[in-house]
Amino acid sequence: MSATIVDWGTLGKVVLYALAGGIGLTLAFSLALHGAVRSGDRRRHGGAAGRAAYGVLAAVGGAVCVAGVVLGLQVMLDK
Amino acid sequence: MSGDLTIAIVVATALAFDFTNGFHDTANVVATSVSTRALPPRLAVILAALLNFVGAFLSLAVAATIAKDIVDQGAITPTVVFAGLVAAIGWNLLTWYFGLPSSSSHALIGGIVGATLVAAGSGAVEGDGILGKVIVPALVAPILAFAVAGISILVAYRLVARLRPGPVGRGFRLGQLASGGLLALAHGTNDAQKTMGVITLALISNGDLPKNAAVPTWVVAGAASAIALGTYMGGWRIIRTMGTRIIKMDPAQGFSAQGGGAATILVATHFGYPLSTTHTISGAVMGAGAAKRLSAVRWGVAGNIVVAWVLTLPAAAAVGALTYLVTDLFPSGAAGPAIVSALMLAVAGVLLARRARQAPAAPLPESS
Repeated sequence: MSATIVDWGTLGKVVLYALAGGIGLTLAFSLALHGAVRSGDRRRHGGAAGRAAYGVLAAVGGAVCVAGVVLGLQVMLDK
Repeated sequence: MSGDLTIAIVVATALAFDFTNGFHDTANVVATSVSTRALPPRLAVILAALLNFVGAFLSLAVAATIAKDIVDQGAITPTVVFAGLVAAIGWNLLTWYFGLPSSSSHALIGGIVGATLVAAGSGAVEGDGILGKVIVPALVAPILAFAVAGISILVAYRLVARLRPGPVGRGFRLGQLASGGLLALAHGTNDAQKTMGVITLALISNGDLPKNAAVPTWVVAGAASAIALGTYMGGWRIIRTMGTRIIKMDPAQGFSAQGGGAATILVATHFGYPLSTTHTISGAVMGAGAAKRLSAVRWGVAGNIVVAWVLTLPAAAAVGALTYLVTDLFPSGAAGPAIVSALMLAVAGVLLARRARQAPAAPLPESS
């Protein structure tokens, strides 16, 4: 009976999207932070190639974070 | 005329409920940002109030669920809605007085259901909607938030483990500006919509709106303002008691907890599920704590939440039923709600005065 009363499909989407959104946000932000800190360390101690690579990682991670938040809010506003 | 006065009392009671919801929940929304020193308390409270206001305009899916899927719109009256609201406020007040955790959302839904049961019978209660859209999601959401925050913090620790702690801490504090903002938006959108749904239900039952009508803009603006004002006013009390009751966590945990809680509430809101935001945020905070160290979690709080799950809906339903019976004793339409409102204000005043005498910095209730 609960199979018809509870919309498990929609509830499953809630679980999936919340896991993807919450973990994805932390993953992207942690990667951005990792890139930013490592890039700063390379700047102080030399290593231009590594510095550039970590800089790109920081930029991509940051961009994914911003895009994720904007996408989330856009979905919310789509009434 | 009597109907207009009744509906005015119902709307005022609903906005009062929304104000108390914001007042109680300020701690949930700002505590994580303040405990990690991501934001000074004053700024955290102001931002939370502003974002609660903005959040209330984001979606109307939860308001539609409250207005359509809990009870039969055609079978209820403004008095039923009033009794449900009084039950929710009364139950919150009682649990606050005795220091028991409680969910305003579950109290509101329980109150409306109890009043509907005695006013129109069990046929007017949408049992399928309550089970499918309230009870099951209420069980899933805190566990989901626990899992999201728990996995998130493990991912974060893995990625930043070998980095210097100073810049990592500063980075996550910066990130908490965004994650804390999202959490405040999420809180505003899910909780304010419950009040919007209840006011819409009352307007439909009084014939001011057609059946299945959309939520009027003035209702959205009123609910947004009430929850934002409540959040702002509640914040000053939080600032005074912050030193002793704060949750201890590092900035990475704070970021993960806020991100996990916000993601769960925002996604559930989009699909129209009226969650207990307190339970969801508590689940996320416990998840971020448990992933680091199991003993860091206040498992007693988790146990209290389980008790609150079991107790709040039936208890609020009983109070809602009793309130309806008392309100319905008065023959004139507006007399019952007016007298019950006055009684409720008097009881609230006595309880607040007694609590203030007993403990100046009384613990805040867990609500919403």
